[in-house]
Amino acid sequence: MNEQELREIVKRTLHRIAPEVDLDSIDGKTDLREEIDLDSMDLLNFFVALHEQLKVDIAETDYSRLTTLDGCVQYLREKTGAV
Amino acid sequence: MAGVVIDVYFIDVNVSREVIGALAELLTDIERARADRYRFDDDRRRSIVARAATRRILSRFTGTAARELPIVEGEYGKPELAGGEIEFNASHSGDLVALAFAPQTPVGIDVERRRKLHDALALARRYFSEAELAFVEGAEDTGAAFFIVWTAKEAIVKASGKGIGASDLRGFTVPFGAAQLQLVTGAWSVAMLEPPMPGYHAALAARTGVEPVNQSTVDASSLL
Repeated sequence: MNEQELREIVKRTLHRIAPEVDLDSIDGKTDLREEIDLDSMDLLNFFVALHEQLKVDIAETDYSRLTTLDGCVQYLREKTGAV
Repeated sequence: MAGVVIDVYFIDVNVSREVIGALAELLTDIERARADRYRFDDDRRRSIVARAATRRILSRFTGTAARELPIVEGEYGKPELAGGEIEFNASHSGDLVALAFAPQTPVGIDVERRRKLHDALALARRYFSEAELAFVEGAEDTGAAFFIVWTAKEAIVKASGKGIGASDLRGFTVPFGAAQLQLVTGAWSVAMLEPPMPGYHAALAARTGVEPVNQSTVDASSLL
């Protein structure tokens, strides 16, 4: 899996959590909580869905790294070994 | 803490643009800029009503003008009034803002519009204690049971001032839907609240020993 494929999975998963958001218009560096008001439950829902999709364990202490699209992709790249 | 009264307010954010505009005047420039960063009007409206109502009600407690109140962030980012004279907490979801205020004792509040979750049971398995998971799995209405537990847990996490990431969510079990504040851990109690709209769940957490709760529903335009 390459980075682009990983990004598409992240966006598709996020779309299931927040279907009203046009993810192509979101800056990868934007904090999702600040721009589209994802609350704690939305984020945990997102992390659980990512875990199911990619079989990656996301530790609670790493959550702060996954609040932007770029942060998610970078973190999941490290965990999955995607290039 | 005997004799401490917690004031809880629910506010419907469905008000006119004029009212939202006027409420935004109660915010600091930084708060308004933060609200303006939201992409959607609904998010912006919730953010403005929550902070404007917080400022207006704190102003009634303290006598300081709403816009002048020094609201700062605690160690984990929880907003608080500098000086700690009054502690407060805010939550918003859907069309509702929920606020809690108490003199010199921390409070946490959470309101959630009931919505479709990707997989409530997967969330419960990951973040709930065994007893909480059994409660959700055994419930006739899994969604309702999930939200009852979730709001109670989030209220406690918020009262403690720590974020979800810094809290051991599985390390404590909440009472399932208790209407009175009930002991959860040595430090915290939690109670389910009844929001004024159908389809919502809410809970309040406070230090163990703090009991009386005044709950009211406020019209956003009355905050002007």
